[in-house]
Amino acid sequence: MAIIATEDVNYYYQDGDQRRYILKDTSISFDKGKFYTILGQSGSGKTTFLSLLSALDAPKEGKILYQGKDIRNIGYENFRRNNVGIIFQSYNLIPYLTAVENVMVPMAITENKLPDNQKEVAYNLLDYIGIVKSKSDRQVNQLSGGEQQRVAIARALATNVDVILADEPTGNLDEGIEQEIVAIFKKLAHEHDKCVIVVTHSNEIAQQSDDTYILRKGRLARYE
Amino acid sequence: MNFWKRALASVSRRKGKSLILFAVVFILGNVIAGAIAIQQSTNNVEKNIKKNLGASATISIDYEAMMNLTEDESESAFKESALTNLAMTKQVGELPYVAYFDYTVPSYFQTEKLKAIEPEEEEEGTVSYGGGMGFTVVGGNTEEIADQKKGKIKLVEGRSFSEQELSSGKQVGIISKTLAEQEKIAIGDKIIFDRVSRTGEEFTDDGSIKETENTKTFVKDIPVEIIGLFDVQQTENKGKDKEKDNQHYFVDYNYQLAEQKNTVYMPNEAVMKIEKEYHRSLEEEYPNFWDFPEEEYQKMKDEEAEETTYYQPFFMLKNPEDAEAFRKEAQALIGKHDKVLISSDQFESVSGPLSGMSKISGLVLYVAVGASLLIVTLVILLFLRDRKHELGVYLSLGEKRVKVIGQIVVEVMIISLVAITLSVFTGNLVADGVSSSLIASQEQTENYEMYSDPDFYEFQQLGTETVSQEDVISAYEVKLSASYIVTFYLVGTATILLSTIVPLIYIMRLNPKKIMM
Ligand SMILES: Nc1ncnc2c1ncn2[C@@H]1O[C@H](COP(=O)(O)OP(=O)(O)OP(=O)(O)O)[C@@H](O)[C@H]1O
Ligand SMILES: [Mg+2]
Repeated sequence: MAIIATEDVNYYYQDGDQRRYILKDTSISFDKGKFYTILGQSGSGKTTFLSLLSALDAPKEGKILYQGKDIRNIGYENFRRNNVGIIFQSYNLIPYLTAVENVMVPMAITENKLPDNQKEVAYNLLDYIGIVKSKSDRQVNQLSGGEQQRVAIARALATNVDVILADEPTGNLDEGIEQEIVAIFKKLAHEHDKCVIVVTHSNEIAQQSDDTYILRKGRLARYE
Repeated sequence: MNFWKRALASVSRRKGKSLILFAVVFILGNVIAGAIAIQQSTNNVEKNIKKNLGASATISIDYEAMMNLTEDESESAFKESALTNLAMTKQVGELPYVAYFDYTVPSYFQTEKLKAIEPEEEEEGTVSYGGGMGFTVVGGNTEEIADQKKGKIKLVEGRSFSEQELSSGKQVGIISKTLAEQEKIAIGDKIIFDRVSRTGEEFTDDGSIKETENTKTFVKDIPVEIIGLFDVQQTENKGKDKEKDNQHYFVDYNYQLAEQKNTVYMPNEAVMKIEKEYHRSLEEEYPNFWDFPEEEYQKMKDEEAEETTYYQPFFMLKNPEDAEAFRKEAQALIGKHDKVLISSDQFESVSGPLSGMSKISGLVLYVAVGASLLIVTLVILLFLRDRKHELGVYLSLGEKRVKVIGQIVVEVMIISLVAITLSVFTGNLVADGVSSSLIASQEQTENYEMYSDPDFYEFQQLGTETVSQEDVISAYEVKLSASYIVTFYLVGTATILLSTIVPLIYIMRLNPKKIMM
């Protein structure tokens, strides 16, 4: 069964008395263990789609299903707290906390059962993602963009969720770093059985993913 | 990293912002603390002085209001006054606040053969008293004499009036031990007051009094059986401060003491009987003794026929705190132009410098709390706008809004409590400094003389204590009292908490999608 799916989702912005549709009757499902990319022109609605999957917004019509359950019934806040990890283009870390403290923020919020040695887990996560211990104890505004985005990925993984959503995670990074980040996503999907959905502009990234969808005129189509 | 830990990290690691909020709260806190300290200190002075002044009361005609009345109006004011209507006074005496009630029919015996006690002259040539002293007659209606109750006198020998003496008007009296010793009078003896009325004398150039052919002299002996002797009680305050009182109010302490020793206490009935008898005999021997114009004389005779007697009431309240309730209820029972005088009222007359300061500090308090609400709200709001992304992160991670709000409140409270705690002490210093200079400036502008109070005499009659502006000012003290600290903490934290309301609404309305994506 799909870990997360949309069912007849419609989304539009009200423009006066006109409805401008961003998503029309979208039904699509995503599985664990796979790395998905979503392509589309600027303004096509990629971010909007991701905000629905991450329960930061609600569809106007239709449902978002998590393990077959409507996330409206799970509760949006609950869902964000326990079921997804989100990575933003502009990292969005807490500037006065250290890297490891940033990773520990969602650990204090989630209701998921986590190991007791949270700090150790956080260090290990950062290490796994490529941040050495000495950097983990730095305040994040003393890290490079690439390092900050790694911290953001570690934070998304901290609550041990199955679904990782990322909105142009490498948009602000150079190509070399981009490649390293993509490698992490692939590892997460294939070695750790996560469902990774990444919105991107880059065809190179899309080529490395298991499945690619293109969003155009409110329709999400599988790219073959 | 729960919201407590995040709050602590935010406060300790973003030092610049913490310092700004600290400075704002500290400065405003000093103003508020100072205003509270001054308020409390002035209240304390009021409470303490009023306590010292006690809670005795009398009724007096409102002379200031009388000035605006026509002659006829003021005449009827007197007729409707509780001072001439015993029933009204008695009703007041029955109010539940009253612990003790008596009324006095006053009289005065000027004598010639019987010598009154003369005041001691302290320094030579300071004061000279023209004319001999007479005897102040104080009527009473209770076994326990009002002056005894006030602590002015103490019965040292014999006894007080019996029920029977009070109602029959038997001519019994209580005099001072000093007078008894001078006249060699023992309990049970009769003392004779040769009460004199004289008119038609002239002043000579050297200030002495000379009789002329117009001089009329009327003498009537009034025998009074002595049943008790009293001693004048000197309060500590009176003895200690007499120098000061002399200088300030031109009230001579020695003169007052002599006057008290020349007081004769008698039953009201007896005083009334003596008065009536005396004036009847006087009138018989010398019609129109005082040589009034004919018209006025007739009018006075008519009035006398109505037998208007003055009763001076004295009430002692059970509790000083009942003063205002007593005044309100008593005022409803007495004449339109009467007013209730309570011993603690004196405070209002001498509290000028303090009440000015109390008003100013009250105003400052309101303004400062208002300004703090506004300023602290704006500062917090400004900082939150800077942290919009941070707040968005918490919300996108599924943090409950109450906890996001909790973090902000904890941060603000940590900083504010430190600032408030410091301003407890500095604000107290500020209050001390400000109030000294405020008092000094007010003292100059309001040089009040107790002596010129229209009710000065009544106040003096009420009790043994009088207060001056100096007493009030020297009683003023800015202290680090528990109630000051508690009040300031309450006002301070309440102000800060209220200041977080608008910022909290801001957080409630944040939309993480709009911020983050
Ligand atoms: N609050 C809004 N009100 C009205 N229209 C909006 C609002 N937010 C976004 N849109 C519009 O919806 C469309 C989809 O926006 P969205 O941000 O999802 O695009 P995107 O595919 O993520 O673009 P980009 O690649 O530039 O990030 C755009 O045309 C945008 O102008
Ligand atoms: Mg976008």
